[in-house]
Amino acid sequence: MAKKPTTLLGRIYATLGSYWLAVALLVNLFLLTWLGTLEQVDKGIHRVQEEYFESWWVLAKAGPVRMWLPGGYITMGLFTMNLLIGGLVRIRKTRRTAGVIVAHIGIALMMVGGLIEHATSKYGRVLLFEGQSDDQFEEYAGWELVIWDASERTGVTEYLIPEEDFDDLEGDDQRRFERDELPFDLVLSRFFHNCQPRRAVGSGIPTAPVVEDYFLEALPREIEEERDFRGLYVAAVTEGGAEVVETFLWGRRPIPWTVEAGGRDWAVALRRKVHSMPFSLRLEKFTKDDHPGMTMARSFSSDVTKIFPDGTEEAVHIRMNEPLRDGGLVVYQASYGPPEGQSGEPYSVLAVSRNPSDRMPWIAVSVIALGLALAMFDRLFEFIKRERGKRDRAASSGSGKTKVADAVREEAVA
Amino acid sequence: MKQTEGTTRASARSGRSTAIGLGVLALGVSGLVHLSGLDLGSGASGPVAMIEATRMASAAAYPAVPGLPLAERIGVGEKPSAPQQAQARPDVIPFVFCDMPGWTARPPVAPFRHVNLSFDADPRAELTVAAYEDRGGLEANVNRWRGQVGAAPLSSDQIAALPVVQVLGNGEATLVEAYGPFQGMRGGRIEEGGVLGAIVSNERFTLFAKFTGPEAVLTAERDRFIEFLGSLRPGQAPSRGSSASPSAGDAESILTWTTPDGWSDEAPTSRFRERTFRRGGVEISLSLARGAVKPNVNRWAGELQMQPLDDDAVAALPTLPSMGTDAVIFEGVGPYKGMRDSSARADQRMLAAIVTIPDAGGTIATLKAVGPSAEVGASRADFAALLSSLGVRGR
Repeated sequence: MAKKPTTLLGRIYATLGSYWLAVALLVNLFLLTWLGTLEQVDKGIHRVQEEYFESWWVLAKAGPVRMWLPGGYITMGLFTMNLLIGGLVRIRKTRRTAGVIVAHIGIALMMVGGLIEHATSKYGRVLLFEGQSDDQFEEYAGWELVIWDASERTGVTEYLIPEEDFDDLEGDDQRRFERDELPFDLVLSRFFHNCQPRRAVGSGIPTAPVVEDYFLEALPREIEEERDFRGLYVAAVTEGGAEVVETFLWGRRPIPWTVEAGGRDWAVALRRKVHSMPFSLRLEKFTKDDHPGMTMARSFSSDVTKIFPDGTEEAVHIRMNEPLRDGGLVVYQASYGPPEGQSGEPYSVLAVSRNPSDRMPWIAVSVIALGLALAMFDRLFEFIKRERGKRDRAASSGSGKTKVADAVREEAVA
Repeated sequence: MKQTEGTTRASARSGRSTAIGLGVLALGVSGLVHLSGLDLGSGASGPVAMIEATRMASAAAYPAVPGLPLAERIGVGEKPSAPQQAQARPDVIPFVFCDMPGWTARPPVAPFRHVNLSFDADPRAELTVAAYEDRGGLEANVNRWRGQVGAAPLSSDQIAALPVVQVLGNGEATLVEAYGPFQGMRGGRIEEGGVLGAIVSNERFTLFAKFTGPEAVLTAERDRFIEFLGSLRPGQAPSRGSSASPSAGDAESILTWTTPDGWSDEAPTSRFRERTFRRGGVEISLSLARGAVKPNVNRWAGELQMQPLDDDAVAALPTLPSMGTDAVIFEGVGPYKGMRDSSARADQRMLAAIVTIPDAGGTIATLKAVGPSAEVGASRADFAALLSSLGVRGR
């Protein structure tokens, strides 16, 4: 029996590695998943994911009851510690526990993979018409403010402010953003998660500053995050301290606002986050096979050319369930257009994911399977050994009884 | 007593090792979080923050138009005119072009689709203009278009030998023309279809102008398409309410002239037209364009319901001096139906001149007088004076 810890740290250490904590965390994880799934109906998957799993605490809704639960960060953090302490450090290291330890290592790898994915992965899409190429993809939900020299057409240096840096600016809150290379600072304020511009005349009392007869009006968040369009008020302060007249940016129309500073025009726009790819993709041909007699797609695929910066090209065929994997990216055939019944040139929508740990689930599951196999075979061999021992003992005791019976029989004969 | 001290020491050792274990664990987890770049916070906080992230983009995200009014930037306000509808999308480079009677401008339906026109008489015919930052390759695109009508691909040499047309003011676009069964983009196969297109690259983008539809429409509207290409102008800052060009007297016009007495001198009504002069029922239009003499002369002949002129007839046309060279003169009488007219006007006379401006990259100036036959006939002297007064600004 393990010794009971006597110090506070020791007790904490023991608690972190205890079974009951593991059980409690699993129950909490179940509640997060269950209640989050129910709330997804009203809030959409992205927002629920944010509130339930990408949070420290969540005010979960269970029917009419609301309750505070530890969010994904706390739950997964404690779970990882529990796994490391209880399943790897404190566990007795014997031949019998080897399989369990290996399985725990597999689960730990799964957790690490999840952490890496959460921290570094990017998901988005690239839309290509035939003959068109692109070397970047656009996120579905994330936004950013981008600044560049308006005179640059190619090889453009973009200065980026991610949404996370200004999405807390409510009401009169404002934040000033600086960069040495820029001859002006940007003062951001009044962030809107979803909004639309509205004409001030005839709108009653405007709810936000009016710029050139328009102001941004907040809208309820959509269930589908992709339908939300961000808005933001922005002012530029030039090096001399003169403030340019404030304006606002609206994500649905990312045509840039231009600022004249340092003798040049600078473009400022609010757009969905964009990421570069290590190669360009040019759509050569999009193919859609319909079900016989219908316009419903049976399958669709894209013939693309992968163009590397050195000019080398490679033809690739991307179809459903057969993605392109290269340069840390996975490019899937996701959708196409225009929608059925609408005219226009065909285009292909390719989903792009950059997930350095996309193979981690395979590795982790393999390790877990190995651990479970080790544990199972260990038990199996032990069982076989035990049964064989029993048989041998039974056999040996059976032969002893025979000898005794023979002796008794001989004595009786004598 | 000794035993108690030993127990205490063991307990202390246990506590220390536990503390070390937790410390190592905490360091490990924090290190992992740090290495992974995981940001569990809410981003920047406080009143001042640095712009830390940069990215090198191969091309500008969107065309920037300094001074663009907010209403136009966010796409609200006045309903745009037909040419301006091409600017309705955020990712559209503004284009303006000549009037296209019989064609209806529709909102661009896709990114990079800047102009989207459909032919009123046969909606299967579409005229689109798309501009991509990427060049894509002339050969691949020419053969892609040819493939859409079942035509065999061309070799590089054959593509190099394709005719060129003037577009974007100073660019020579490769003209692609192929006929065959055309597979519409969403169904709508046209058995006797075709594709007529032009591809040209400049330092900003590669432009694809594509005219597809029934072969009969393509051949009938071919000259109009060429004219459309010549009138297409990119990258101009959108004006607030009109797509009109600056007046000819403004610095942007390359032409100068002297208005004859008794004639009005009116601002242009499209970028294609530099100036309009009027007296009575006669209208003289001064335009800049691209193209050769024969197609323009035959376009004018067509407006008068006349048969097209062959090479010999064109070569035999009279000339008048203008801008240091000879202007070819065309004159005809008949029912006139211009591009802006819904029906033909009877007994009209056209007196027109076309002059290739020297050292102007193939730019032509046209001067066209149209009106009642007698009135135009009486205006010959003024027409000739106006033609001879034409000059190039700065020369």
